[in-house]
Amino acid sequence: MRNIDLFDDYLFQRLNADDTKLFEERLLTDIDFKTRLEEHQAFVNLLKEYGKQQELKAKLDTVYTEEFGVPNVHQLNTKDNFYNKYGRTVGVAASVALIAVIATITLLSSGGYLIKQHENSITNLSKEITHIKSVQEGIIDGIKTISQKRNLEAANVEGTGFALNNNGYFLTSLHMVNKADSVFVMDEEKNSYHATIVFTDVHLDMAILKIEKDSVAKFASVPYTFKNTSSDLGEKVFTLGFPAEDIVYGEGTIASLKGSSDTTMYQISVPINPGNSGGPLFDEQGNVIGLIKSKNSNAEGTGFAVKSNYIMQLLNNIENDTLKTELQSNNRKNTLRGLSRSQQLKRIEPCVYNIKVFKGN
Amino acid sequence: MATLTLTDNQYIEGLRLSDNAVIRTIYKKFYPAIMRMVLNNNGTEQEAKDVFQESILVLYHHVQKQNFILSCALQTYLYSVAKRLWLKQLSKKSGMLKLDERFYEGDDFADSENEVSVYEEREQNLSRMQESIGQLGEPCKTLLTDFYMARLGMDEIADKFGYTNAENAKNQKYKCLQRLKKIFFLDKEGKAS
Repeated sequence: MRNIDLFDDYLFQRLNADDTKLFEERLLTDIDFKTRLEEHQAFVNLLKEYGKQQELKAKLDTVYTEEFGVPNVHQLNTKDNFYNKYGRTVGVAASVALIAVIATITLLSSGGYLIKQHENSITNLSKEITHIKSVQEGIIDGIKTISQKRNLEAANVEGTGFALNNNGYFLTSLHMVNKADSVFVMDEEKNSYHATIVFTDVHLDMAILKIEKDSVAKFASVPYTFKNTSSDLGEKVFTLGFPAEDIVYGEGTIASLKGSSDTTMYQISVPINPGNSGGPLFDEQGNVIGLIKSKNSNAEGTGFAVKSNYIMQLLNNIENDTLKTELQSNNRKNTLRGLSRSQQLKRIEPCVYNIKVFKGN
Repeated sequence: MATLTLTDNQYIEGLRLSDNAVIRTIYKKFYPAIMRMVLNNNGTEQEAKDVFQESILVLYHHVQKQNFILSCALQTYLYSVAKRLWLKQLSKKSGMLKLDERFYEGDDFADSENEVSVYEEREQNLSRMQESIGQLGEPCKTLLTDFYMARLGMDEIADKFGYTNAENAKNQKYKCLQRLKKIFFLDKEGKAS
């Protein structure tokens, strides 16, 4: 009989009295035999413990599902918690700080991003709110323990993004999500979803984000399509974005078919602000004709948007077949044509998201 | 369904036996506080659920020992173990934290760190076992489960798996166990190096 079979019979007390006696006598004299029994026993115990643990896990899962249903995998809106906890006073103080800092950043940021390539100083429109955060934290520190301060130093960038289709793909500006630790997409009801960056293009400054479809009950079906040709000078255009906590509408015209001598961009006369980066630019029929990229901070009302035909071209040349197929399962029908502007906006709004980016130090 | 009211010792005894009704009561009674703690500190419901269940596993691991004595209220035990587990996870995904200031306030029992680290050591072996069993495949997986956990006899196993006799089934069990050990220890060495 093999030792292991013997061990099992002994441990399960399946040996008869005589054999048990023989077995135990051998244990006393044969050290090697004893060691091997102990090793076997330890392994079997681990196996049994694993079995019990699996059983318990299954029971816990069952109870959870029966009592609480399916767990939500999204983080609840922390902004609400923050205000509930710290109340009006801090809120007011923080808003004052926020206004002050945005003013400062706007002033300081003239001469930012693209100054090396262009005469004009162009500011990317993501809202850098690191400073605001630290001011807020300064306030919070007064009432909370400081021990986790390290964790609160994350840089924080916000902007806009919009749905490419209802498969969970979003388009936004690369400069916003570049080098991010984590990216969240927040819908109009302030639900945040964790997003992964699945595709980027440095030249066009665009990034495609993806939310796992399972994590969202239902994406609004996308009412717009992307225009595959260039638009005309003087065409009326509009945008939706998140320069503030709530969605903001802006309208204007195509002021130039070249943005700062770059043929991939339009220059637009639409009032845009930090936070508009990554937002969609629409023509009057509700076609997406561009992706808001940056603005000229020296000339008010001068913004730049990447042309949609360049974006489409890029998407059509994606080499990853799976991604390409998923992206192309697009809504091919523009359902906004002929509607009044406010009706158009009602349909577009659910597809425009606030993008929140967390960057490490 | 009516909720049972039990003493801490009754909860522990029920958990030791993996009693369904007790597990349900434990969930209903102790989960809400832990869920709030996780949700208020950058967690999702899914994460709250995972943290709670892991806390139960920590407790379960310890109550298996006959000499287990609960040194504080069960509520406190579970809460502080959960908190310890959640802090560990948070420190892994740091950089985006805004913690509830109440997070640091007392009501911990002193030994929660130790309880968790003892469990984690064991948990490493258990998750290696899980991987190994996953690689083992069928019918070995079920055969070993039937033999070691359900304690089926060789005759029953022979019957169930269609082996000609008990001796044959025993040979299969032997081979399966040898393979599992091989995967487990190879895996272990691979990871250590």
